[in-house]
Amino acid sequence: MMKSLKIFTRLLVLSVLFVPVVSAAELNADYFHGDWVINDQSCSSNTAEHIVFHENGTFMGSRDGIAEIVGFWSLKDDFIELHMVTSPASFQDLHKEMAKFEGVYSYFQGRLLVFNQQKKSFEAYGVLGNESKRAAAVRCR
Amino acid sequence: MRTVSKYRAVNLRRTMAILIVAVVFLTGLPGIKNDAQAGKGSSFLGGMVAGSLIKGAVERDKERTQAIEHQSYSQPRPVQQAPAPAPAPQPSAEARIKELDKLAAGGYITPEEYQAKKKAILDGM
Repeated sequence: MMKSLKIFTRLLVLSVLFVPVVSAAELNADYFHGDWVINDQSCSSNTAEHIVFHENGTFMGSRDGIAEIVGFWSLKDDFIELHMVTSPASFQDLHKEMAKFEGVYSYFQGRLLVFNQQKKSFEAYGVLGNESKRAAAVRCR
Repeated sequence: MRTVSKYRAVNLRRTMAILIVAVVFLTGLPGIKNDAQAGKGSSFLGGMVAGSLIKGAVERDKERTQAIEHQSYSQPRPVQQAPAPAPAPQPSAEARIKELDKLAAGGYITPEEYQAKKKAILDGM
């Protein structure tokens, strides 16, 4: 029993030492290039929300494979600045009041505060006006 | 002796299983977050857009209400103006011709003026 406890303690110490090495991914624009699935464990899920950060500074947010938000992104210190164009009517499934924006495309400026950055995942607080939301992103490609 | 070593092996396997579970819980699997951890809706960016629009609308309503309340408390209400009196009804053509007859009989207007005026009254009917 004592031996098991010793093994457990050693492995616990090792795991704690190992974690910072794994999680120390560098925060630069190159890191974000690619396709990220949001708040979902599966990249192949049909209903998943994806954000694709392109190298040319544009990005696209999609759900169910349909583009809903497009715009420009840039990394500034530890946050991503987003300049977005979307039709709020795309989100009437979230808030039925958005239906009145059918055919209306609006510009929004938001920020993603990045934290808990891992090699293939990160978390972020999104801030847009008075609204803030938390999300987890996992790299798909 | 063999039973004891078998017992130890089972114990070790059990300990290893507990250990793996503990490590996974303590460190977290990179990139795998459950809903409770990530605190989300079905659309992250869309939720932000919709949320900001709704909150913006609520804020604007609040500000508007406050502005109206402030205005109603700080400024006297404007006195409502009484509607302008309606113009006096036009006398009938018959009454006007009778009036014209009196003027002609009294010599106040010439026969030409009488005829012209009478014609104007009759044309306006």
